[in-house]
Amino acid sequence: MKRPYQKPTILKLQVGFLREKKSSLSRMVRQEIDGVPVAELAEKFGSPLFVFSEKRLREQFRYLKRLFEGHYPRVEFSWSYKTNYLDAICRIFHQEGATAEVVSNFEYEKARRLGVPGDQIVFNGPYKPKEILRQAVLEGARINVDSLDEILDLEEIARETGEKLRIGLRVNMDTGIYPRWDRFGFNLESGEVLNVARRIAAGGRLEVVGLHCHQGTFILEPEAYGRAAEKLVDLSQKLENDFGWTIEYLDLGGGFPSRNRLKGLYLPPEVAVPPLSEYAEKIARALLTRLPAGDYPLLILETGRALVDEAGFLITTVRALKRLPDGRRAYILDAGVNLLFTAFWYHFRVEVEREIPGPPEPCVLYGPLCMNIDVVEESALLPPLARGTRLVLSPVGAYNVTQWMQFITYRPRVVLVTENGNAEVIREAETLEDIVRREKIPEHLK
Amino acid sequence: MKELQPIINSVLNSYAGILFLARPAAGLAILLFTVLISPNLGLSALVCVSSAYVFARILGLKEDFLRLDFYIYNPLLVGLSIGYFFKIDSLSLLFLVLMGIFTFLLTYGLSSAFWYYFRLPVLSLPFVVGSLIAALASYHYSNLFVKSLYKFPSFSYFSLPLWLEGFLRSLGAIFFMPQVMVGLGLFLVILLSSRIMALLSVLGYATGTMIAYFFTGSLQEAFSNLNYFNFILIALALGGVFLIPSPKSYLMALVASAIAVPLTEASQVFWEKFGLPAFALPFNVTTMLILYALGLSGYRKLTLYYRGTPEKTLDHYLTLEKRFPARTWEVDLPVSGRWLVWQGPDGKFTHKGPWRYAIDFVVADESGRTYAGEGLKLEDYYAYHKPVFSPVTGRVVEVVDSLPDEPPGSANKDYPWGNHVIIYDPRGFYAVLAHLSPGTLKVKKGDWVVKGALIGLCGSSGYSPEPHLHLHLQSGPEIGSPTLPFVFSAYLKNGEFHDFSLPAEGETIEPAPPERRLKQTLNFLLGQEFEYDFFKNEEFNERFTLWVEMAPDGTFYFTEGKGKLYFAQRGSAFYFLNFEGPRTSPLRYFFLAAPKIPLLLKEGLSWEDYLPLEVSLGPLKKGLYLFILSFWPSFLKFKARYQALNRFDFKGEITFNDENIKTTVRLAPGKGFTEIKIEKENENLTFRRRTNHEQESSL
Repeated sequence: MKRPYQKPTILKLQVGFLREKKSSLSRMVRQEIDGVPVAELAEKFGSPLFVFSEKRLREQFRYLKRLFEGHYPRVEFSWSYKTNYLDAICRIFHQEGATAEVVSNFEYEKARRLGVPGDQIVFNGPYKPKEILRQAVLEGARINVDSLDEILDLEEIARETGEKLRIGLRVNMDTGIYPRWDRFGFNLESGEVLNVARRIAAGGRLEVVGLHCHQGTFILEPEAYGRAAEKLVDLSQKLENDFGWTIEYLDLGGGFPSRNRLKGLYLPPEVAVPPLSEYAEKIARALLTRLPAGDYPLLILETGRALVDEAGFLITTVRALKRLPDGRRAYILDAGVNLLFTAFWYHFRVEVEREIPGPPEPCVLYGPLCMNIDVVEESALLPPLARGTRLVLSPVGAYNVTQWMQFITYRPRVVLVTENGNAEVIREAETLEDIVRREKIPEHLK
Repeated sequence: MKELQPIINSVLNSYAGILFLARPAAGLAILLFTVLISPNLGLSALVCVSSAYVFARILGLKEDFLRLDFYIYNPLLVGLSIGYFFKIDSLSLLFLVLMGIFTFLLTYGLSSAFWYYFRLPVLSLPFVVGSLIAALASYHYSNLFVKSLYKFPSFSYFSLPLWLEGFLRSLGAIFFMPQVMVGLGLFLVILLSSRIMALLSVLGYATGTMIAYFFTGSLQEAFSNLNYFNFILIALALGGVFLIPSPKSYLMALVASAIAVPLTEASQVFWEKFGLPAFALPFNVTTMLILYALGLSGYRKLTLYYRGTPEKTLDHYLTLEKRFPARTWEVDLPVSGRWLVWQGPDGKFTHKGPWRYAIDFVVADESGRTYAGEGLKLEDYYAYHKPVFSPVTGRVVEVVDSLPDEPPGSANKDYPWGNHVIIYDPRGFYAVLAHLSPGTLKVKKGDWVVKGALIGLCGSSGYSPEPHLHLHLQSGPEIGSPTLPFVFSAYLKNGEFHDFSLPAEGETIEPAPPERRLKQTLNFLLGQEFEYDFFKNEEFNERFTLWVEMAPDGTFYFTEGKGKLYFAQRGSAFYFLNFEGPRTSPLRYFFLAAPKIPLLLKEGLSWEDYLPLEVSLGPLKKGLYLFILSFWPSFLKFKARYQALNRFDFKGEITFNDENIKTTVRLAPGKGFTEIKIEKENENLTFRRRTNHEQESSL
């Protein structure tokens, strides 16, 4: 093929891993997602457009399941709704055998609406309105208690039903990582957990059957999980001995990283993010060496990001070009931080829909908002892009379609590329009607 | 009198035991025949058997032991043979006592030796030897008063067909009374006890005599040879007693009766040279040879516990032995997660000959590949460095931990087993885990490990073209000893719970570890009581209380006063083992609704089970069914499938030929069964636990 003419330029030599076929430079182009051309997707469904790959979702789930179950005999994956609670996405994980992890009345109701039975829901979160708490109790959900006041609520519900309720305790602890998330649940080191346990035992209406901890998010230290598992096992044995309870499950929460590039990390994620197999090994080793053989509590993992992040893409289009006062090139995209909440944490992988001639140069990617903070990427290395060029940002599967906001514009479509290569809309784009439907104008303003 | 009961039963059983029946009533009938029809014969037998029994008690053997009828039916037979030749007087009484004790000792010694060396029952071989010795010795005992042979009072006032008379006389000849009336009586005893045996006795006799007729050409001769009782005994022993009744056991009975023909003829000729009768030698030789061959070849349907009649044995086999195979050891799955059976017993690669009972595991993904990427590195393989657990509880007797992992595609031919651990299980075998990764073993020689303890990590050492785990049980402590068959106590396959079985090659299975809550929910202890209301078609019927008791053998059962429902937790499931009691007992329905509960209920989990016939059938129908089943094992279209609805509820569907029963069970998270529902064609039964609070607090 005849190469198009290029203006001669002097370039800094980029040295990638030569043997690595997927080195960063050659990855700059993405023409298709699971066999469906990016251009076709954008033309059919519009831009911006969130695209999820069913194949990647299922493969990642099966990979994680195989991995953890290969190391510990009783594992349950509880799909963290807040990461991405689109019905279709949840359905895929439930089909694969995940239960639901919810943290609010909305999420609980959404899971029930999707047909998840109460006893397959893990209910976390610092505020569980009493009504939904009562419903969860009656439907047999696993409830992990966050505060003493919630224990009082539960005791009241227990009094109403006349049955002893089985609950989980949410615990926070020092596992050697910073920042420590110590606002959730009861502290282990200070002895608060044991005080609370004593209070529960004295109340006589509740029984602790599970322990839960969630250390944080995007944790890059597998050993922290090992330490958390050890501490939970020790605590469970103490509770069993002191109060005669049976601890049925240990819930290590989520926080497992995806291969996204965290801001402030110098190394690329392939190097900086430990493989998930290390997390599995550390957790299993801690459990297997401390628990009596053959008598294993259920290990619950609330993985969200690690399952969904890398299955999500955002197709966006260059809508305007600019040259900044400092000489840098800048582009205005039709998707900004309104759709990409995680842009505050990550440097996304930015790929162009086709090979574009010309030397890559540093540039800034702005979103469509009329605010200074709307920066998708401060410094991307891209060849000169023409207006209308489409970019593919990834991984964007986690948190964006739950934390996105409807600010000055509409939220776009979300499509799913199915396993047999069809693109199906799983969430329609918003319209004016959607947004004004709930508004009311008082009589005197009409 | 009450203390005498076991002794009397024991003696009576020895009479019935000659015909392989364990019923004192049948024994009494036979005793009466012998004493009434031929007092000389009957009393001789009684003296001989009593002396043997008394001597056994002097030796210190207990009733339980002497309940095994073959210990004293041999002296009994010797007594019969002596009574057949000699008239009772003080001298022959002494002779009887001496021979009784001798035959008992002979039985005791031979039976232990036969069992130890050949795993064979001693049958009536001691009788053959004992009565030959008695006959030989009496050559010189001229003081014994010899009765003239063939001077029995004859009752043949009516004439029977030749074959029938021959059959009945042969039957009588088993007890040295070759008379039609005796034979008829014996046949009635057999018929009342077991239809299968009655049929077998006729078939065996017919086969043997017909073959003899072909050779000799004389029907007269064939039907009048009293030694042909051997054919009857052979048919009974093989067709219904030592093998589980089935078309194959019947075939075996017929074949054995046929091959015993030349043997019977030959031994008759041989012993006649010495002027001695041939006795039951052909029966013993043929039966033992066939049993030994079947045992060696691994025939699956050998009787382990003879329950008194073939029918009872068959019922026991169809339920308990099918549910809990007793001929193989059960071990735990030594891995976690889903593993593929790469090579099973009698596998296509290396599991051959003495090493045939072995299993190789690998991990495969959805597309069937065992590795990610290109599979050039050990780390690419899913199985590599996955934990390996102890399948048994026992002592580590050997640990090899220094052989390197072979890179994919190569294999160490010098040390084929690679790094391995051998664990001695006190049940009497050794478990071997092989191809482990060097430096990962968590146990050392002499350690005591329990089931599920972490042993090491899966590797690729030894003859291992890719990382995999090898497991087998063996009879000796040296690596490479002959392997033994085994099953896994529990595992999951495609969401189905399986127990006491082995997966086939190419199947993917995962362990089924019990849930801690259900383990407690279904852990019933002595003294616990549960009160139930029983509703028939939604109408209150009765209220009853269940409580837990312990049987003398250490098993536990529920009872409401009438029935006994035995239960146990084994491996990863709760089982109802056995039901005894009247058909009116509500416990029957508990068995029907929950014969087996995997301790890891979860929506969608399903399982199958067999139900004992007595749980579903009345006694008459049961006898008929068992008779038919022995010929036509697939006659019973019987299926009991259960499926979990969630963590505490499950439903079942029992299809029984044309009958269909639906069940639902709800377990109480605290303890026991909350509600059991049985839906039959025309009635709905509901058992509802009374007042949760009271029950809970009373526990």
